[in-house]
Amino acid sequence: MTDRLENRVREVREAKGLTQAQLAELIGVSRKTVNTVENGVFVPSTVIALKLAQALGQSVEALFSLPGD
Amino acid sequence: MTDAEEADRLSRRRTRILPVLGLFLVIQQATFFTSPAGRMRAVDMVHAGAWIVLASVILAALMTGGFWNRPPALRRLIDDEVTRANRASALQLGFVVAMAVAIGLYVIESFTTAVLTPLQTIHAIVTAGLFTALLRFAALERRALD
Repeated sequence: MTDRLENRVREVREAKGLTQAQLAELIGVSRKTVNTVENGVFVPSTVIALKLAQALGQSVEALFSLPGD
Repeated sequence: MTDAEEADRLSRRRTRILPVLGLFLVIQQATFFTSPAGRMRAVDMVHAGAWIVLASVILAALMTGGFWNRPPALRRLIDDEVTRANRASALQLGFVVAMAVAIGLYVIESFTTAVLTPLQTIHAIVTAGLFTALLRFAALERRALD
């Protein structure tokens, strides 16, 4: 089982003109969480993934995918 | 300053403070091992008390994230998912190192003529575990912030 997760959070966030701090504020986490998710250092919980998807107006599947999918 | 920015600032400060606390712990460890064994003088009791306080504060800071005087909402932000994951990883490594040191000291006591007092043994195990966990936590947090 892989524990890696590819994501498009940075790409979508930047397209919406948001900074990491602004996105963090929107979903009630620290900028550190947004940064580590974007860099692939941290695999977020389902709750954080859903909040990110909601804040960025995307589905979770559009933001996150397994490598090779 | 927003809560997210304040949490960021405090997290950065924590990554600078924790290694310094660890250094104090190691320095105390060094002075403990170099001081003559025997009956406890008043100064030794103060020294032992200071070590107990420092080790307890470090353990509490590691387990809770520190910043106890800050509002609960801000503390939750400082202690969010990434921080909890970093802490779990740091405590895991600290535990492994503490156990390895304990096993190593047991081997030394069993198979060599070296004699350690129970206090020296406890000192070494606690310091190794806490110092490792502190450094690992600070390193993971720094990586997460950059």
